[in-house]
Amino acid sequence: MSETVKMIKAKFNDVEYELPAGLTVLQAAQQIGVPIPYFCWHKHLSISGNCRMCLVETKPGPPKPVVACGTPLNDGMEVFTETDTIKNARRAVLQFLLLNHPLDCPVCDEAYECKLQDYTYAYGPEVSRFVPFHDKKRIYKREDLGKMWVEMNRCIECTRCVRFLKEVAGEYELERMHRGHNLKIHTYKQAFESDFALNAADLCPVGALEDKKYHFSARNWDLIKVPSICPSCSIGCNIEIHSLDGRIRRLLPRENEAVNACWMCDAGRHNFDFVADNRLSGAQARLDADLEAVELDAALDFAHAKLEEVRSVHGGETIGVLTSPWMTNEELFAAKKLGTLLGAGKVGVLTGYNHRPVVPVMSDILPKTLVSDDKSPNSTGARLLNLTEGEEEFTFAHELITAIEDGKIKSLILFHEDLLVRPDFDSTALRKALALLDFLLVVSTRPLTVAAQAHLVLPAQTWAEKNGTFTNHGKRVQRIRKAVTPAQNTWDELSLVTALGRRFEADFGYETFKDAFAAMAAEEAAFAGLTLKGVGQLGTVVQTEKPSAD
Amino acid sequence: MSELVLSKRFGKPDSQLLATYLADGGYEAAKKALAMDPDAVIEEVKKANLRGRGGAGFPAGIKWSFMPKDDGKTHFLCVNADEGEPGTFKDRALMRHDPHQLLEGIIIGCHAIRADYAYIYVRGEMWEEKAILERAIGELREKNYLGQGIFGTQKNLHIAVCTGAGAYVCGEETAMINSIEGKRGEPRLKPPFPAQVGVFGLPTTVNNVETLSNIPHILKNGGDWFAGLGIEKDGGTRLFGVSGCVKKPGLYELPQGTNLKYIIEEVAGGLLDGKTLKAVIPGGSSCPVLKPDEIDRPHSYDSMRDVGSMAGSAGIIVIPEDTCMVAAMTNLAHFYAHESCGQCTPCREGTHWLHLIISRIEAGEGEMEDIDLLLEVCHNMMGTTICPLSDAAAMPMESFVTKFRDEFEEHIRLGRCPKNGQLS
Repeated sequence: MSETVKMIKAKFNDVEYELPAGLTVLQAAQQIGVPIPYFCWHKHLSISGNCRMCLVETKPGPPKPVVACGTPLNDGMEVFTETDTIKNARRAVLQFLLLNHPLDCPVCDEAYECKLQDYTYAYGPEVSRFVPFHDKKRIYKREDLGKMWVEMNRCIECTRCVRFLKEVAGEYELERMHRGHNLKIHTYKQAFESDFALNAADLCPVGALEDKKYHFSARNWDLIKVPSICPSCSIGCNIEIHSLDGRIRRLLPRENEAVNACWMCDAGRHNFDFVADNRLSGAQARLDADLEAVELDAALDFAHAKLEEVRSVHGGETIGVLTSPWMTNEELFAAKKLGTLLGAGKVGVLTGYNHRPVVPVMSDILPKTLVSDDKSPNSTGARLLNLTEGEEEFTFAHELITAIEDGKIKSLILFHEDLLVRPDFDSTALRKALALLDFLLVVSTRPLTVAAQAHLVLPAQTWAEKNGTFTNHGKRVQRIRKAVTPAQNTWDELSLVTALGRRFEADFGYETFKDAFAAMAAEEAAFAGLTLKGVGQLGTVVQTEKPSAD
Repeated sequence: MSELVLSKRFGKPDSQLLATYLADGGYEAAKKALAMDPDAVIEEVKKANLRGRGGAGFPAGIKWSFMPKDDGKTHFLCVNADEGEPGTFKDRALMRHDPHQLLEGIIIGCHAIRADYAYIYVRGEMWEEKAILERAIGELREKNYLGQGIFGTQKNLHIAVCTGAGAYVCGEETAMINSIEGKRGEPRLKPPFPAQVGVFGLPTTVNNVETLSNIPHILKNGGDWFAGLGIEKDGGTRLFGVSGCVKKPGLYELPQGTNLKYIIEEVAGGLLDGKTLKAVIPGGSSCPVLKPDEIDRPHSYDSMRDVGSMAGSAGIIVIPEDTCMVAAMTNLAHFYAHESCGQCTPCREGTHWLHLIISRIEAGEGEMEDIDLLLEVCHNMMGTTICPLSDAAAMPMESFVTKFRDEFEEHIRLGRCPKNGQLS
């Protein structure tokens, strides 16, 4: 028998509701859909109660309005949110805020997402009491805080940013300076050092804190918003990709209490330029001495011919397939299938080497880690697909040079990883070894150094251009979705792999991501019984006996 | 003049010393209280009808009874000596002339609320009083009247004196608690009240210096005696600070409910140079102003409330006929705009806006609509913030504008201040 929640009865605007005990008036109102405006309250931050926007009248209660955010809802309480007193108080608060707030919505990044804008339309005064002749607005210069601009003119002193950095990020970087109407929010130093600072910009109900990278790059109402997963580390923060005209403009955290609550790190947030910049376009084959552009069909024929040649001369077991943890579960699954089909001796994965120190979020409210030292999104997926060799993983990858030198590998299909620039490979030895290969196929989204020695280069797609699933470090399978139009003449790895498979007259039985997912759920023990519906918006944790390597 | 209770030793030689205080029967009340049950002490104070002298007038005994009992937590008593209200100068005198009377009150108070620690939060500017208190505490420590097992009982008590940096808002009890903790001095959202979550998250009671200074007398002479000194529901005597244009400005101890007109005309000797009275602020600058025809009534919490003002901290500011009320209010508006902590929207923006509007009226650049705008802003500031500073700024402004509207209009009509910006 689960713990029963005590229910209480309370009236909101003369309508009685039954609600669980222990809520504040504001939380209760949100549950039942009674609108109460607020600026400073946030469910993951302490209650500050300073914006005075959520005033309501309560019975029994004091003879003056109280803040809904900080007032506990008691049994038998009556709450009034639309009395004349309350309407007037809201109008007054908005009038006070607009007194010094610049009316620069046309050039403000926050417009359309601005609470002040919304509430002014909904509850605000119809006329401005600002007298241009007499009154001067309080004016501050725009300041540069490293990752963001701070426009103190727009600030309404809700202190969400200050509380976020103190309470959630555990970093004492922001504070209110001075007092009274001279109050301003600033860092102790000039620039932010926190890796979570831009969450404060998300929290800002107005446009006072602005992400520099997003600054002036789009109007919010034009953005196309697609839910996805951050690819920058194995935590798999839930995000929304906001794009305009086929270009990603920003990544915003999407709420998922089990993974990232509503935060993400700044490094991940700003890591999307690789989608638009420096992309491979069209297949390139080394028909003679140099790589030259070829049609995809011709490229696949070339690959087929070369691989068949290697197979007949040296045997299928000399083919190696080296996948990447940047591939989706389905792509890894298909690549593994291709390896089996070719009779490949080695199918492995190479996980990330970028060992940035783990930054724990020091907070009682959110005792979680938002950044992992594994800088790839799907190494757990590769592990679950048995692309690693036990816990001492990736031996294939690190024995690659020896294996080629010994003639155990004569042909290599390499996904994404630029081996020559990785510090964990001896680049001179590797370059020599790669020269020994009969056939090197590189599948990548961008030009790689290693491609100089490739016989065939196939252009792939980034995570924002395709559908699929990633498995995060906690074995949570989560959906990524196509958010932007793919770059010209690129193909996602799943279609490249299945097309190559067809050249060997093998029908994988799937071409689309959905079919591949279904096949994976049917064939792979770790993903058994998984459905896309089950994965849903927030992902689902796969149950497996195999111990986690984390 | 009636019997002096609080100010009996004021001005006497060596009134700050423990020896003087002991010779006068000092610390007998503390010994008596420590032998009593804490709840019995609270009952005695309740019987005395002692109301908080900080300004709000909340009954002290009832406040003490809010403290949790047997909760196993450390309790604190915070003494509010952050006297910053313009026109008020009673706590400073109490600390300067009779620190042991306060300290004895603290000992009894700590016994009643089961506190082992007390903080005396002295306003930053009062460094002399801080030194006096620290010397007195040193004297008590030597005699083991403070420390472990005081007066030979099981009671432990430590008193620390700390100071703020002179912010007016730190006189608000939760802002003071923040300041004691080393945080920004700004009021906390209530609930939870300090009796549940106070200093360092532990149950805390905050009392004014004058309130605690009364406690030894209540314990010594009994609650009924104390209640008999004052009026109904409002016991004891009170230190009235009379300032402004009177012949004998100063601090006077009189029974609660003494007639305000009597205080000004008889006790303080009437107005200087035969001037006539124009207005009185009866309890520190945050109280609405009274006109001369409203002052012939007892100065008590209830009586002042009935006439639309407040007894506040009993700092009576006397304003003569030749004072420019707009200039006087501009002064006060500047004070509140400067002292707002900036936390709540209505106060942060409102206090500054009020100051802007009234400054331009005083400078002769106002419009007739500005007067109504002042009233509207005042109305919007009242009752909508965490602490009463917003009300404290709006209430005097509202009363000045409504009661002396003709002067505001004259400024606007003339396009200048008739008194050329001089207060008088």
